[in-house]
Amino acid sequence: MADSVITVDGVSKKFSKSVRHMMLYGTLDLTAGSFGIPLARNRLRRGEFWALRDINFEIKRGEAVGLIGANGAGKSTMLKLLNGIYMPDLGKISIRGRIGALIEVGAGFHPMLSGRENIYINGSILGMKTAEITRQLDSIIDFAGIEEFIDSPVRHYSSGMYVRLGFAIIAHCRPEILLIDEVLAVGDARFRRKCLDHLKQLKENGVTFVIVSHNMQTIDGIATKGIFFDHGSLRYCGTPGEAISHYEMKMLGNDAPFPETLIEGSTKPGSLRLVKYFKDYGTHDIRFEDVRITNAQGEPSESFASFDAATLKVTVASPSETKTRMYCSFINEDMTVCMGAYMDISLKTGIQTIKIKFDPIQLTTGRYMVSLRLYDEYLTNPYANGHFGYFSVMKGGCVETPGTNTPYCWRTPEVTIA
Amino acid sequence: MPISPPFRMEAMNNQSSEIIYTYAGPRTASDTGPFVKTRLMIREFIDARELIIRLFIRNFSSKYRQSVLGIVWAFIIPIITVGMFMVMGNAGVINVQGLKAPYAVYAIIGTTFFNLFTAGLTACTGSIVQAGSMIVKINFPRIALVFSSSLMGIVDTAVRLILIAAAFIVYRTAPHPVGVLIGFLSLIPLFILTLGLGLFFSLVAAILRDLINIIPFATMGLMLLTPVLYPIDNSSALGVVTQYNPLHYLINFPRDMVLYGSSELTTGYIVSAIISCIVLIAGWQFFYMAQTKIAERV
Repeated sequence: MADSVITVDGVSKKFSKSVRHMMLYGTLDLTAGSFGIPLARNRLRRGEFWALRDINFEIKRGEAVGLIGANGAGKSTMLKLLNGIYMPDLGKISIRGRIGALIEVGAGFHPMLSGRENIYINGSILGMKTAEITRQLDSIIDFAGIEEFIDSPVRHYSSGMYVRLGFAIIAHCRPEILLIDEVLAVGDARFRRKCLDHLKQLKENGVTFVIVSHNMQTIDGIATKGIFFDHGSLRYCGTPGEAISHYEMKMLGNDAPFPETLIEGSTKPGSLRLVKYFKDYGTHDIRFEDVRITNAQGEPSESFASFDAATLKVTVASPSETKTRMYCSFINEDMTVCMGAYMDISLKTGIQTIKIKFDPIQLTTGRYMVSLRLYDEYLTNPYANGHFGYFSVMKGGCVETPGTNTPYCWRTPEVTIA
Repeated sequence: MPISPPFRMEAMNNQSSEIIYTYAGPRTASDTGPFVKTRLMIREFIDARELIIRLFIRNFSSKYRQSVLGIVWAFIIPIITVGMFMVMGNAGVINVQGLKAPYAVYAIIGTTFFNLFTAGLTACTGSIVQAGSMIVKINFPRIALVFSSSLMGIVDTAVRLILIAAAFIVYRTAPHPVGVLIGFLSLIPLFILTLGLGLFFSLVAAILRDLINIIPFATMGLMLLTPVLYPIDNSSALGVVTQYNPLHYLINFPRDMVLYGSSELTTGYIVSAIISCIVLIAGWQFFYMAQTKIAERV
């Protein structure tokens, strides 16, 4: 293809698991290489594994490609192969155009030397000519925003300053193909914003991108193509949205690391299970009978998109007419409250269902629990509490404002009691 | 401040710059025909020359910035070594008779020249391992690391020239006026040998780290085997070994030139210089072949 800038053709890469094997095979390979003895490379020797196996894809000029996958899926290895740091054991990679890589910012910085000196050294390492660096020096310092400390040794820099300086240098390298490995995660919000803006500007100028990130919003915001890796194999190559949902399926699957501390299970079909409650907290006069979350069609569901409407149905058994205040919040896997609301509810005697409608649900990608707490109207006497789980939100992100988790609007949930 | 245009259109349209990565290493699509490898090696070196200088400045300034005594260190060790041998000479442990020049001058020149070899070799051997994370994270001509480290050996030696000058003044002798220039120029083969071995060892050390610990002992042993601090007795067992030791010729020919302006070792020196060149070519070829297989093992 004339306009493809990166062609990966049947590429495999193997690594040794232990240092002992690495030393042994390293010596063997070098000795064999020195005497021109060919070695069978398509077989694994003892203690080796395939980090990547038979990868094929093509990237065209001006595309922004997101490489996604779980830790150890082979994304970074792929990036290093594209950068020419590793050579493939099998297959072939062709690259057309000047390549710039941000595998780790600040790699090659010398801690004893000043920021200014390191700009020159790192610039040279990245292939810039001295005259070019001198010409761009002010712009680099300005982009990094560290004028004040440019003559201090970089070992006194904060990690944010380190990253800013590193990114500023690479940003001035004028690559035609830019490889980025999860480096934008560091740095403060303002600098990340600046980097993303800069990347967008590069993209408009026709620079080709390959990005490795675990932040699906970054991928969603910038990528025009997504590649999903799993255990060293390429599982999907196509639209970023589809690749992200492959990744999310993988992440939110049964082996997702959610703290399961089931206390008592509700077996009603479609209900959320009671995952956790504080036994000593509250009088437990009022009981949560059933908690379920339904989609726009009114059917119980465990999976939503960020902008779907969802209705939380809480069935409560109350021994008397009680004025209560209910706190309802969504807690994510990090046990962080993502969204919460409280509502004043007058309970009748007996069993009743409180419906709380969220339109939209406004949560980003992840797995959530519903936390419910029921108090009296003066908040002095807690009646009941519980965490109910789980449901997940897929294909997340607020598309309008990548890089933030802030909902673009806020609507008070509608509450009805039946 | 806006960044100047991030790329140039003419650079984008340059289709000849396609690079192909395979197991054998990187090459461009146009690289075919005879001597491809040699041409690639030379091009790599030319591309890397600015980086070599930059890394050299980095090593130099960080080395001397971090130590209080700085340059004084370069003097202390040779003075102690030479002093020890002077004591041994006086005690009759070694025979330093029959020298036309004062022993201290003779010994200081010897250790300084030998230091070109040891300092260069030590620096080169550690160069790839020390670059560690950089090797794995940035693609740049690795050869720059070894070349810039070998230059550190020259600086170390150059600093000790002050010591040599001081020795001449203290002992009220003078170097041979023409020989001194030839003497220093004739150190070039020693540097070539150092670089050749350094290119080889730097990659081997990346896989077998033990090498870095072995080098200091090995060079110390070599120093005793090579007549650096005492003249050799040709009839002794050591003398026979010495006849086949290129370091003997590469160090003693330049020293003879500096001190006397003539040397009996000319033939041996020329042969050793040729060997040095062969070692450099072999070491460089090995480095070029092996460097692509090293990043994943550092």
